[in-house]
Amino acid sequence: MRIAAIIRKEFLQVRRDRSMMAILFVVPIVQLLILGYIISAEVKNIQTVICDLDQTPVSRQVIERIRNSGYFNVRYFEREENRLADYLDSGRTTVAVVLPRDFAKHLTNNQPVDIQVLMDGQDSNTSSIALGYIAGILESFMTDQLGAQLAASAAGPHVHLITPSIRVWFNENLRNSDYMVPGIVVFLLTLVTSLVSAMGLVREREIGTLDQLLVAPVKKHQLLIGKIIPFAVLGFIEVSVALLFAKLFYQIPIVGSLGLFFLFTAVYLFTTLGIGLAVSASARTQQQAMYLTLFLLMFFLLMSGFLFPIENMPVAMRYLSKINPMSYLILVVREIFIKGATLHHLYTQGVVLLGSGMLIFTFATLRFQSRMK
Amino acid sequence: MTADIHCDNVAKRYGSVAALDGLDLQVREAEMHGLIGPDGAGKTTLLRILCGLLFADSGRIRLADHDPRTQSRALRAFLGYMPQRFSLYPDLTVTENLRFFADLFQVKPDEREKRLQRLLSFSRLGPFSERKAAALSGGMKQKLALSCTLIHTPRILLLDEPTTGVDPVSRREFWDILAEMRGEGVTILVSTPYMDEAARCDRISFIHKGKVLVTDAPANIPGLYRQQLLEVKTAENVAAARAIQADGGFSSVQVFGDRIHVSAAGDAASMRKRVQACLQQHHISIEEIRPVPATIEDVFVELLR
Repeated sequence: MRIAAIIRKEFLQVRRDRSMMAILFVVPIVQLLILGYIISAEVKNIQTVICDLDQTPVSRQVIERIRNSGYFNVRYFEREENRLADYLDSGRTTVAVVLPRDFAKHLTNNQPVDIQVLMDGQDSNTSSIALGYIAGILESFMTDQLGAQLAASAAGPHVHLITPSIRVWFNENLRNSDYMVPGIVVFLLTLVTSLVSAMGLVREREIGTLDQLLVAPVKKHQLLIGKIIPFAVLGFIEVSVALLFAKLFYQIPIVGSLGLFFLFTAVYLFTTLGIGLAVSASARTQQQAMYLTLFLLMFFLLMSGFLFPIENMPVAMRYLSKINPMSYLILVVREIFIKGATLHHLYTQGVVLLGSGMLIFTFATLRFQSRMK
Repeated sequence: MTADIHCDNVAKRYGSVAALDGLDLQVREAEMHGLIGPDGAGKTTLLRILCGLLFADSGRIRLADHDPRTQSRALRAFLGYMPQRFSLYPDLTVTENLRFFADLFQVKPDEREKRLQRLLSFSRLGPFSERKAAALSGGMKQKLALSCTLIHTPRILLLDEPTTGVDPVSRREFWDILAEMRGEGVTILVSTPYMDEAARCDRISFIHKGKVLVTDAPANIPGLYRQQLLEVKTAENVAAARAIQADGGFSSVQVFGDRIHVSAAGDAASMRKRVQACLQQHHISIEEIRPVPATIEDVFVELLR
């Protein structure tokens, strides 16, 4: 069968291609190693300077709390308030906290107290998160103070403070990697399958073998299927390698069904292979194909909520991200892995992914058919 | 079904440029037909239209009674096309390339191995059968390309400058294979820039500006030459050619390596006198001067003017 001949040839070529083997086996591992650690919504080790003008046991309690939070690395203590600007200017610290004179006194006398927090706002993301941490720490400190005061007072037995008792479900320890790694796996799958399929066909055009295929009595759909199937298989290999590594190295949980995950992967492949196919129908050289694919993938990545929360985007962008198939698959993978969601829960996502796959793949096929004339 | 090729009044434009401009061509069955003509004459366009990779704007084309536009699939089963830049899969070996094309043309496995062995010995690629195509020499690549084109034993073979950039020995081997194919009854239409290759064809057609100017057997072509030709050898050919040109009494002056070809409508004796007088005037000594029969090349140079 002709399709089989093309598939066989394609695998022969892949097996000989060292860079392809690297893309399949080395790249996912390296990417997971690096990205799994660095992509993190948490902010840790914020370089901090503290200026304690009060120097009382109470002010030192506050400093202890900041230190023990795990978020701040209190590197410097400064006695002169007016020298704090220098720490921020030189970039030695991102945060400066000033505990004012008479901090403890005012607190016990029930007078208002201001704690000054100076922040390097260059990285607005980090500084707003840091600000949140500081506010939280001070708040809990105040609550404890209040509680102690109340207990000591006459009204104590009659007043109760509300303490939220929080229990996190699904990702009980709030492990960042459990959340990020599935996203990276999906991104790798998207990248590799669309890029490889885009290059695969353009390469035939570039070296001129496409003409030979076209003068052979091969129907266009046979050529298409023969080229696409190997790329789909490569996608499954890629995702399995990435998954195995994620499981062994990051111990990510896989609560739900792997079969369901692969089913969704298969549906999603219509989208990514379709993109590759559409690109290869338009591009003349492999280089063009690569740039075009990466350009499209940038949109996928930035609008997926994987790196930047979608909630923070302007309304129009939020709608745009709603049509991003990658964000749906990331969601699906997290739901399956972390929550153990079943097909029943993922019905909407399934419909969207199927729809986008059919739409993109049909468009790509038509483009391919007309371009091969 | 006779494996012949007919083109009647075929035209093809690229924007404002007419690549083929009312071209007529008849290739007989089992004939080795050469296409020659300057670059841009339309040879590649014609071959691509014949194999169905391009569509003509107008005109009637038949290959063994098949229209390449509407019956391309049936046609492809017995057509072999080798483009100017035949591309093999560089990362596959010689046999893998051959097997791939055999499978593409649905050659049966037992038949496939037989043909493979025959083509390997034919092209003398046997010892290199496990070598990757990328590691072959230019001549070997072309022979492999031809073998891939022949794997389904086509009845009509279209070849676009198959030996350009190939060393003389491989070139001869390549043409020996073609001669053998022709002997087996395959119709061959081949474009070539080499006159010695054109001379090996049964007939040649000269294409210029998208038209066939003349079709005839190579032996008859020189007879088309209407003028007298003189071959002149001097110590300073370039200066001599310039001097003869400046004289104005000749219709063409061409330098071919160590010789100058001078042509005019007159008779040999008076031409000889005039050349001698002209060169004497410029103090260029003549080593040899004699009338010669025209070559195919001379005829085409004349046709081009």
